[in-house]
Amino acid sequence: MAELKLPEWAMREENYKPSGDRDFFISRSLLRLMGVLLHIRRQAKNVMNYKGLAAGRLLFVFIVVLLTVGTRMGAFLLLVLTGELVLLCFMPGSTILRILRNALLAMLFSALVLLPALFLGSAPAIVLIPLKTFLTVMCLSILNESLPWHVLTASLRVFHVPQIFIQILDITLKYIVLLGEISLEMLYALKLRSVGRNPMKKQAFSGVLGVTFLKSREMSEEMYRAMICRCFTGDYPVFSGKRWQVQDALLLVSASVLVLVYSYIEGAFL
Amino acid sequence: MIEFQDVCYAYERIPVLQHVNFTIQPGDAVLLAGPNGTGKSTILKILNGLIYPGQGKYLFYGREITEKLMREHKYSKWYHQKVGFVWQNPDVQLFCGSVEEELAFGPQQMGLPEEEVLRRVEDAIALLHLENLRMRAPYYLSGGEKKKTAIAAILTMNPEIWTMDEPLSALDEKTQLWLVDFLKALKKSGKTLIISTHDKTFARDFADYRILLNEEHEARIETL
Amino acid sequence: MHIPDNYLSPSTCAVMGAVMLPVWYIAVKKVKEEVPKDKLSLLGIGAAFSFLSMMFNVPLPGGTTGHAVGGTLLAILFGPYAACLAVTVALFIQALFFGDGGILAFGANCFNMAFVLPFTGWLVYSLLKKYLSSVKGEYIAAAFGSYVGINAAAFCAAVEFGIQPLLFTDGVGQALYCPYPLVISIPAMMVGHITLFGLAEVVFTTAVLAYLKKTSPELLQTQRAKESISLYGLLAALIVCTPAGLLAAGTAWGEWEPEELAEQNFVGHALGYTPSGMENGFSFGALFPDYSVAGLPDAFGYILSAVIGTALLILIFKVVSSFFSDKIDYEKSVHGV
Repeated sequence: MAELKLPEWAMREENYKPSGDRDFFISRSLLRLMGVLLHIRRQAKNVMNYKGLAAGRLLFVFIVVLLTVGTRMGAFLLLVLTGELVLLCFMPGSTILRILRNALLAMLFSALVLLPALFLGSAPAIVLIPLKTFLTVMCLSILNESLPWHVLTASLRVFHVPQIFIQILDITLKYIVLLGEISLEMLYALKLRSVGRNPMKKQAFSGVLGVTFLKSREMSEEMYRAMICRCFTGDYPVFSGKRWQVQDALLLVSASVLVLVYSYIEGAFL
Repeated sequence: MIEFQDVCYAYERIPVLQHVNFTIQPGDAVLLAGPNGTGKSTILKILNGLIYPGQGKYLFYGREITEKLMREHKYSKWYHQKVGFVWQNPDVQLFCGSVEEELAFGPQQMGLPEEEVLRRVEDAIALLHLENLRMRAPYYLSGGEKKKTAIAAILTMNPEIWTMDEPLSALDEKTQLWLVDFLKALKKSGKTLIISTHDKTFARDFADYRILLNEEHEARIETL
Repeated sequence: MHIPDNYLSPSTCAVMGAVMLPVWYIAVKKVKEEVPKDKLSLLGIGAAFSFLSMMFNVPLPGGTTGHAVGGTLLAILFGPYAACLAVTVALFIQALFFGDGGILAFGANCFNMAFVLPFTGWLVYSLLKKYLSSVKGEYIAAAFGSYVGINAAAFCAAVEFGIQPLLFTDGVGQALYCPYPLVISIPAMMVGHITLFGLAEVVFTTAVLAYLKKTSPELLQTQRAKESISLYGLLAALIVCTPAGLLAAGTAWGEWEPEELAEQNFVGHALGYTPSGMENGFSFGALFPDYSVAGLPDAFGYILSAVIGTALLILIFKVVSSFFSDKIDYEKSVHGV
């Protein structure tokens, strides 16, 4: 092959003096995306002693949330708070911080929303609502941090959620990660090539989104074909090697105790 | 020009680079070689200012590249113009509506005059034989065409230092041969090339030396 | 020994707080340098021990009560600076959530229990340990250290109480704040601490130390340490036992409510007035005053308070320790993992 001849401008050294342009939007999207991906990846690694059925935990959390929302007594909320704080103690510091921050933000928000009601002279029980928000958010975050998502979604089977629904959930989660990684790399590439004033930030950004979308369509089509190649007939068989265990029984007992305490505090026995 | 001083880096507490030292002079053609997972991509990411050494220093023209420095807008733009990066997966690099726009993206941003931008786009298209693709959307090109478009998009920015991550992947033999010629031409015009590769024979005839990473994540410099 | 608000003049509080500022500053610096990250989160468990030990009220004939502090134990386990911080945080939680010890008097309480106590205790312990190198000797050193430590702290508290009537009186000669001079406050405080409360501190310190030596000896080493089930077990056991602290009726010396104070007869007869500085003083409504929860039985509220306090301390130290960056060991072989 004949020797390649570079154009004249490509042989020179580029004498480039950039003028200032802000592209915080790239950095910000990068950070956000990285945050979400990091969270999902970390979440998938949560294996905090999940012996026993995830469904048991799901049910337990459901009961706790129900009672928390239902109570009219501060004392019961305090009891729930105590329990949740103790559970938090067994988690790593960064996780604790994340959970508390989310819960506090939720509480703050609900307090703000309720502020007018307070001035209009509503029932005194209304002051409990921000605390209830705090507790329920914390409860769900603890569940979320202690079980990987795929285990959680799988546990939905016990409650006879249709298979196809669970499968879609799983695939969605997987694709959030895959596509997230692609768009993360794209944003990096955009950042590397954003060497000056970019008058078309929106176009570049929508380009990133567009390619991500196309990629997702392509991937889902490919996956469907791959599934057909693996004898997919439209049915999702149930595969679950787990049975009810001691831990689930323990959870059940504590749930019953909680219900008893709830009725005691609410005065059902009086 | 490029100097790694005792650079260490870890992903999630697992070291991928341990005490890497090397210096690259302007005009050098360097290969980064070694098995999968020995830190080739990590070195490229550090070179592009996407991540920063966990320990040790990376100096660019004697100036240490730190997160703080790269947050300085003018410097980081200048730096990204100096160092061009061709990603392993061209999909992530192409986001414009057409090949033409893709090539014009860099020079337009640099604020070059309209006719200069046009000239560069035309030259790059001619050089890489992209004439038939110029109005096509990059996403729908074949693997080899995408790679060429990605390379052309970096070429129009005319960086001093070219970094490439596994440029041979997804290229057929003809395109691989073309790539070698292209790299030779770049080297001849004084550009610095830093290329990661698995291929033992690739670029042996024009590369000056290679940095061999072993599974202990140490780097050794080998002349060719 | 928790001095409530308004027993000390605001100026005394300010002085004590000012004294503590450099101490805290140095302690934070030292802990940052010397205590490894994983041990830092253990410090929260240590602080929880201290918190719980302060909930076990020991009654003394004559109607007053007292308790152990556990500061020397923490100093032995984590070093005096870390102990200082741990007790400080425990005191802060007590003041803020449980109304135990004043908000204004926080500096003074920290000076006594978070500074004087662990440092004195630790000094005595390390001096004695040099001469008593046997295993038994270490317990003896720990016992003496903790005993001297808590007494030194009580003495400081007594002096702080005692100088109030000397410095601050109104026109009629009635005290503005704590009405008892040194001749009354020192004996009154010290009697309890030289005898029962000092003993409680000794028993608490040596017992926990012995338990930890047996169950998690790695805790006593300076290097890496892990929280173990036995640690949490001991905490749980202590929490369940806390209602025993309720058995001690009466109020600790110097911790009466202002109205209660008028009836005290330490000057030979009932005091007969409430010092004006206390009547119109600063008041702070804690979340669970005196470790009780409205709407729940006392014992249950006490346990709940103990759990919340313990959990808060562990959480605080764990969160703080997560801010310290992990040191990554670049020397370790990748294949050894």
